[in-house]
Amino acid sequence: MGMRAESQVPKTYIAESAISLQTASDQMIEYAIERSIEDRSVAFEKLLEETMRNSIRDLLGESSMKAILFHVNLERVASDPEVFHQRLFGILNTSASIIEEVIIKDLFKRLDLLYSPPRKAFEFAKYVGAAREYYLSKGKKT
Amino acid sequence: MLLFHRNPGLIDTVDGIARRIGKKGSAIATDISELETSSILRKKVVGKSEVYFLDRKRDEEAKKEVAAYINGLGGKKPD
Repeated sequence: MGMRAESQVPKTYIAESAISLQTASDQMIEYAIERSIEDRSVAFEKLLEETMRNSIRDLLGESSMKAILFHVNLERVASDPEVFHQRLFGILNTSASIIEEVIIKDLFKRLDLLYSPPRKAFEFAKYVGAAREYYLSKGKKT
Repeated sequence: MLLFHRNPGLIDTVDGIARRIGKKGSAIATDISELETSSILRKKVVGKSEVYFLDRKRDEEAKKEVAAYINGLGGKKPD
């Protein structure tokens, strides 16, 4: 019975079904990968924000940390390192780089990355970008 | 300052402090001296060595001064 029922199904139908199943499977895998990257990206942003808050607090105290983040005025402080840098620089001028370097050193330490000071000017966003890239590639969770 | 804030009980010589942050004593001597002048660090002679430690009360005052300075840059004050 089973053999007969199977033979009645057109081969093209079976082939099309197999292809559409394969496509659906591929789409699910792609979606899972995209979700995974998104999750890691969100996790990195959380890690960066936590590091920013802790580093500034350790350096200048709770009140100054709150004051700085208030004046930086970003809904998500770690969402855009370049904007954070520009606004921090706007508040503290060249002293901003001291805070930024402390943040980067702490971030690299948390990721088990070796921090080496730049030969030229310190660029906060570049270091954050490198840390993010490493975090996303390794899927490291700290 | 970060070292002292993270280790508030730290008492060490200039060279010892420098080693802990991966620098040479000569590189931080001026900074230590300035922090001593502003009374955030205090110096004590132990045997033949001069050691430095954090004056927590003065440090708290300095933190408040920094916060007040940042708040004074404009905008509302955070809680």
